[in-house]
Amino acid sequence: MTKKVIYIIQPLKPENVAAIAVLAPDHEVICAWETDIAPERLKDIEIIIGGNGPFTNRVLDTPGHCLKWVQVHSAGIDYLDLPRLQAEGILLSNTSGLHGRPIAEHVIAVLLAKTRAIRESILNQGTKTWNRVVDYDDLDAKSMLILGAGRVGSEIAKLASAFGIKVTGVNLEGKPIPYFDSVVLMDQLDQVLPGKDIVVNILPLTAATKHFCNDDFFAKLEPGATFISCGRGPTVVTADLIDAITSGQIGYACLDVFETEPLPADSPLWTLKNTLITAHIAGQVPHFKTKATAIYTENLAAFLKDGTLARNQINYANGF
Amino acid sequence: MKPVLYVIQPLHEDQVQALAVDYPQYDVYTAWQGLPAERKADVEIILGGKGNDSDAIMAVPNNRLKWIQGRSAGVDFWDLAKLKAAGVMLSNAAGLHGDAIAEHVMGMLLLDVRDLRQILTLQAKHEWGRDTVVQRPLAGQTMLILGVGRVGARVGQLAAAFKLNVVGVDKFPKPHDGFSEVVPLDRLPEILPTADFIVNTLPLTPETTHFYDDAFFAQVRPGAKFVNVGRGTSMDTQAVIRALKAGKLSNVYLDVYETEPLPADDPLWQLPNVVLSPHVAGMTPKFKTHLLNEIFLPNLAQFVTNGDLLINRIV
Repeated sequence: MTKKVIYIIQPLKPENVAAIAVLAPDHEVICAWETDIAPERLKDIEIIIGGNGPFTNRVLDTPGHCLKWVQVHSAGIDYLDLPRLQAEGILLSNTSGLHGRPIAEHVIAVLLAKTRAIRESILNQGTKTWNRVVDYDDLDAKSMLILGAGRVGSEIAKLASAFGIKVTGVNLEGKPIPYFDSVVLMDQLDQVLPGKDIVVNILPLTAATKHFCNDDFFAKLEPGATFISCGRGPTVVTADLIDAITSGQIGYACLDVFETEPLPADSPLWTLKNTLITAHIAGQVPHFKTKATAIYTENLAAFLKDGTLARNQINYANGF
Repeated sequence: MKPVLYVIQPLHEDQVQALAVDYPQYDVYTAWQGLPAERKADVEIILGGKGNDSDAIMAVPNNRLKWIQGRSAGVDFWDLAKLKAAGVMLSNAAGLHGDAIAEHVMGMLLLDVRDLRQILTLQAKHEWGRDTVVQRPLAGQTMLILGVGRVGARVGQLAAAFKLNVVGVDKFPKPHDGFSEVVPLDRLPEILPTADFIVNTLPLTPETTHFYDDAFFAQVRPGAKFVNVGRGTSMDTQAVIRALKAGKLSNVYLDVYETEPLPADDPLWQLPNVVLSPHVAGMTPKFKTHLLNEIFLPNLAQFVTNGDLLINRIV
């Protein structure tokens, strides 16, 4: 009888593949970067590691397919055909949480780049200008709101609180999370948003969050607030964002994600005042493959034991 | 004539008025409004300024100068022996700059590990360049802080939050929050080659002048980073440049210099792996309020009561 297949699409190191294979002696492990899978084997794929929308659909379209579980390599899952996966009862899991520490360092880095006038220093250095009349500020006692408070938010709050920043989180559960001073429900956003010095958007992209940050949202900000966007570009209406920055409603914008990526060279965002553009790098994780493999193997062990997943399982109702 | 309280350190108008109202035994003059020449001899207290300001007062025959309250932690602006001989007290503003300097040091470290200069270069060219940004976590790297006074202690405490391994060197080593150890100077040769980031917060004294010289940099781990938020003259700038060119240091972050302002023709401006900030690490918007509330006003209250000082007396 042909073995069922674990099909790994995102490249991993040999030792990562070995760690997966050793757990599943009854499966055949096929690595997409080494072997083009033969069409007649598509129906044998039980587990996909990595993946994309079109390929997953191709497997689901295959008569007699045995796909049970998709484990993606990213935190985001918005590129998959979620309704289809849900309808077919496919288990779905991601690597959310690995990106927390790098994103937290990114948030503090971009904040200090402004408050310690580091951008100005670098610009002035280019023209050999000694100018001490710059805007500097303290992070101590500033207030921060994190939209989409979860594991990543907790890492941000941990670093922010070391600087004396007070951190409020907003999410769908409203339950306490380590390092947050308070966490409230999304429908209480209007009560906690006004007056915040710093707003960090790390919302996942779901039907409910698409274009969430629009004119109405920006109008409620403390004038001159700092807006940091590290989640998914389409949670922000780009045109409304540009208006808010241009008017000064947003005093400092740090954008790592965009509705279109790569950001086209002719986008007005590149040259907006008080705007720092980074190319979706906030969450870059060193040794990512090995760290992700730890999630893959933990879930694989649970799946093979009793068909459940140990961590990072996606709740289709929430979309994340 | 009433003695003069001469305010050189910029203050808010309401802060100056409060001084005049609360201390009517003094005439309060500010440097920005001007001190009439004939009142120089009456200056009893100076707030802020540097050696040349107090020298000008002390040069006046029969001057009444008794106390200088500095605005910085550094006191290298004054001739301490001269003040002592003249019976003039000096207090500094140590303790006010720690938070700002610590934030500035972390800003420099994050600029380094998050490749901020490359990010700014890409943005100027409207280039996505995602693969050209090279980032590393701070966690697990070692920071060596030379001089663990109030500033060094706060730098270390903040650095520890990023899971940096923080080690301190001090003449009088004490344990500090966030430091894995604080060692005396004689252990520097052992500790120095383990450091990824070397941070200077030493005050400027005869012993620390040109402390960072060729012999120092010969011992660093190749590729180490050097951050100076202490005093410029603690480093032999030419030795720093030599260390950069030889690859001993990979990146240098300076806020202080042997000559300030840094002249436009100084070679430091053009070095590719150097980031320069213009002696702003200690700047904080709350500075004036902190200086008054935490140091000057308590000292002033004590001074008018019994001629003594409460805090930060140096001479």
